[in-house]
Amino acid sequence: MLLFLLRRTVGFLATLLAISVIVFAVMNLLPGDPALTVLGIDSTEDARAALRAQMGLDRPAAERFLAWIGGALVGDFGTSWSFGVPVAGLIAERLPLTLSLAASGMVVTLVVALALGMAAAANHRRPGDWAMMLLSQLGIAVPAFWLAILLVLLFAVTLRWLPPGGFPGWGEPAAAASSLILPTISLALVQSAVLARVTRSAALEAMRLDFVRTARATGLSPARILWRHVLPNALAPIVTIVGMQFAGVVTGAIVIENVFYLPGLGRLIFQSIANRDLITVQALVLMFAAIVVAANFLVDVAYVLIDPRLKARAT
Amino acid sequence: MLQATSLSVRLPAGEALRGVDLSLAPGERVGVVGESGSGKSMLGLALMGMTPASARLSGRLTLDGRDMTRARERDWRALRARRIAMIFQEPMAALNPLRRVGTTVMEPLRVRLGLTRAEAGARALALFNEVGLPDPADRLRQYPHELSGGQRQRALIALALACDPAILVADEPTTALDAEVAARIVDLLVRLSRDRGMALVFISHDLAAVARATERLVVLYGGDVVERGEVGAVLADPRHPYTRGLIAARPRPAPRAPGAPRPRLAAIPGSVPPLADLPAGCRFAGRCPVERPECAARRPAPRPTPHGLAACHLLEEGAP
Repeated sequence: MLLFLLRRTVGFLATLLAISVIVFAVMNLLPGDPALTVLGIDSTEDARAALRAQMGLDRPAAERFLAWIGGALVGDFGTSWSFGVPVAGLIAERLPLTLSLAASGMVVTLVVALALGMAAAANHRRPGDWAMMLLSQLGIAVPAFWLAILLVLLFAVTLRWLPPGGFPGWGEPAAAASSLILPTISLALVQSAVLARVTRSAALEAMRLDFVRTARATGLSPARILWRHVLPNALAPIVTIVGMQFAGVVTGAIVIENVFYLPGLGRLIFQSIANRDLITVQALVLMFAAIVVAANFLVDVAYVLIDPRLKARAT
Repeated sequence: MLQATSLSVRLPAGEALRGVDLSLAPGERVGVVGESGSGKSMLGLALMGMTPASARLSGRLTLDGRDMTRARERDWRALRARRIAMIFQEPMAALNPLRRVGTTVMEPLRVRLGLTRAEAGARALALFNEVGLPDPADRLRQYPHELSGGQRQRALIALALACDPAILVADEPTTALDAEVAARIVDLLVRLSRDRGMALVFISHDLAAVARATERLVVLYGGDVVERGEVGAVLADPRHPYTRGLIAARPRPAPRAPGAPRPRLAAIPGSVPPLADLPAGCRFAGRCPVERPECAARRPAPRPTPHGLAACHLLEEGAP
């Protein structure tokens, strides 16, 4: 198990390194002169050259990459070209919001999807199952940003129960939480529709296994069989999809934060792209990639925790 | 204790069991034999109230004097494990692979009998001892994939015994095992039945195992009981052509000259037809070596034989 974790951690770090190379290369292949963006088209060539030297852009790419990645390792992502403050500070300020949104979206997704998916499997080929299949089909078909707009119209504009957007800051926990409700629902609905279907089919698959018959012959209640025997054996495909969905939720947050004017990483990357603030964009893309890779790393570990047969092979 | 009277199970595809009579007294051991598709597993499931949702039962099935023919799932659930328990063919598949076998065996003790964790643990240990698992304390902590086939079947037997059932239904408990391991499992089941005064329904296509395990024999074909009686007598002197065919098809070591060709196994030609295609009369019609013209149309009534009953037109009065 320890060896397995070690190997996976090395793989995780190698993936991050590869991603950082790609991110850096892509950012530096992009056309356009950052100095021109910062100083404007009326600036003189001398001023732009001086700024490029100050930004370090006149040095070779390899040297700049090493400087960037070396800084990133100690939490220094350079200074934002458009905000004029350290990128690390910008990220640290906004990361909690994005992670909170992603986490709450994922938790709601899991709760809704497991409840609906397991209920549908238990009622296989009965009305409850059909209703879930129909609902989830609708859920999958609805685009998240459009749903977000509808939710705002209903709950914020018409009913005035929840704020239409913006974020009061963590100083007011209740207000902060209520401003995350609609974004969470918008994020979770599509994901839970997908996951509910995965859960249903994985559970139906697991219900056909012989030990379910053994459990029934032991006189255990249907609910106990469903949650204690069927669900654990259905978890492998569910965890796989959850890992992919976590990536979807984090990137989905970019869109949703912009719909709801939430000051998170999604809003920041959007502004940085608009401002050609490549050094910030570069750090943010690396950040998003790291979150996605970390989620997959956790999925790999989860497989082994779920199935003792894999643990034997994983050492 | 258990009484099935003219019990029939109708599936959408056809009749899986047709008018089966079976009675079990405490401690009695009954063998049920037949080919795949003969309805023997369906009989086992019917005794547990676990026939598929699409199945319709008719006739009468009583357990402890209670009519269970139309009992609801909830009523069956109260009886399972405590009055009647069942073990299945594939010991690997029949155990939850993600749980330690100790957890699996303790579950009914805790959930059904309300024992504490410590009490259930002690009880599980005693059960593992009783079914002859070596180093039972270590076995309890292992996962199914860490046990051998015979050990898994023993763990499943321990699970079935957990709530002290009066009846144990064993559906092909030895089929997936090596011959030697299988014989030891059979002996274990006989010993447990004797020690606990527990009735045993031993379902198998292995006549040798059934002869070893049971006192009475029921031969099923196409959902009909074609012959029944004391196990040794029926095997020594079968009266139904199907029983004769089954016995002839049993592999036996026979002396043969070096280099001589291996004798072909006698086999009953064909296989059990699908439920929908079973003949309306004698189910064996179409494969029977001594079939007469009326057999496929008319159902033979059970006739007394020297050691029990057999349902064949040839046994009827006036038959040659």
